[in-house]
Amino acid sequence: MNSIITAIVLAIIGQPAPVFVAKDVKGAEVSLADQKGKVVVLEWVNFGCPFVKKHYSGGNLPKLQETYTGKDVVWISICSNKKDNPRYLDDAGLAERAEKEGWKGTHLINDANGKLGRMYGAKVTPQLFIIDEKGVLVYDGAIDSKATTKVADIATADPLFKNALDAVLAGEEVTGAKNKPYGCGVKY
Amino acid sequence: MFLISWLGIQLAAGSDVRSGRAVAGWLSAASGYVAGGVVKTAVVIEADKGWHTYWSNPGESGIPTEMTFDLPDGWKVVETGAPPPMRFEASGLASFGYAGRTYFPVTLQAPQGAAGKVVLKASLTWLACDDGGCVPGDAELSLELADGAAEATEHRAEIERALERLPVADHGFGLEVVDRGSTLEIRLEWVGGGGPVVDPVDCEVFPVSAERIRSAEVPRFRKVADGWVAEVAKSDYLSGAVPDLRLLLVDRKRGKSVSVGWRADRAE
Repeated sequence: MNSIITAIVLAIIGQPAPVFVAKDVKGAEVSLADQKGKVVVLEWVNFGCPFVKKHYSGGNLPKLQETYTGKDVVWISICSNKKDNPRYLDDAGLAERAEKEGWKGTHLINDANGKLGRMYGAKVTPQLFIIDEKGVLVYDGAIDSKATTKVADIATADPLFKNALDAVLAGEEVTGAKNKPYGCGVKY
Repeated sequence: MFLISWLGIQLAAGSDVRSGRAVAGWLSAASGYVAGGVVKTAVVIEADKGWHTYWSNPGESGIPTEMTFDLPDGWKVVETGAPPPMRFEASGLASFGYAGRTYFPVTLQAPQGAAGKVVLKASLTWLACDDGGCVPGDAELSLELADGAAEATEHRAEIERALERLPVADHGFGLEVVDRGSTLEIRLEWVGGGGPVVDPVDCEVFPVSAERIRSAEVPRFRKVADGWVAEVAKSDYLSGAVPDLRLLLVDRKRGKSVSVGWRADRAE
């Protein structure tokens, strides 16, 4: 099954990020191509996953979202839970859950058919991608270095994603642009 | 709960703990200890039906089961072990771990001069997943042992079986790895005396080292004139040349498994 996922992945570090057009949970159209000139973050999310819960209940992801959207970063969170997964939520349910979790991104997309997830080769939640102002994929990996579900570990982890995003915003090259993300498998 | 019946009423047993879609307990092969002697025990985790826990290298998702010990002064953990894992897909990702009841043998040593009843403690964390989701689990376990009364418990046989199933390290095999860019050529040679306890051709091969070979790869050795050879794709997360590699060869037919390792800085 995994070979099927990897066979159609179009997202490669250093290459133009695959573009997509999708509706967010509020019905607004999101076009990646229209974001050129801005740094874009794609965050794969499943609010039922304990690794995602760690970073929302600990306030890490909402804080990152608030901080970087404040720096004109476009933050797109994508949930690829398929419809027959017990954690599936419809658009309204997903929007409501995101609000409860303190989500502060720009757009939230319900990718129940897994199209965007497979396009980017998203394997786990949380998994983060960064696309630079030129539309090039410059980061694909973990939020941080500690593969645990404990909130207390956030403070002592190496913030891999944050470091990468800071580098992109500073016009610097990202070190460790592809690393293994930890989390729950995306529920395709 | 089923663990209550395993743990029985003997001193050499703690309470079972239910958490994270599994039940955990700590069993001892002996009801007591002798000062300076060893005690064979096993931490046991039984995942609910349809759920699995993870090996030290969990594969593409999940996290390993971890345990730490809090022992009285002078007591030591001599050895811990994990049985050979199984390969499964979790949400389409290649993963390594366990289903059902899993024994993790723990051999302890009492200090010289130890006396009286002792209470040993262990903390355990794990992640259990099925195709629908994942749940973390944790347990604080304890084991009480009497002084001097080292009689076998009803768990002795199952703990001995679990010990026999543990992988042995570098059992006469030499491993060589040739980095071919996107793939690795892995060569095994028999350099021990007697004969190998596993036949690499029959073995399921697991990467002990994470992010060396693609977890989705299922390496298979084939026989060649001077040993065995397998070709595998390198992990997408490995940049540059492979620095080291450790594999677990699991021969289910013979009930044996062997861990073999290689390091680039020690290669000839």
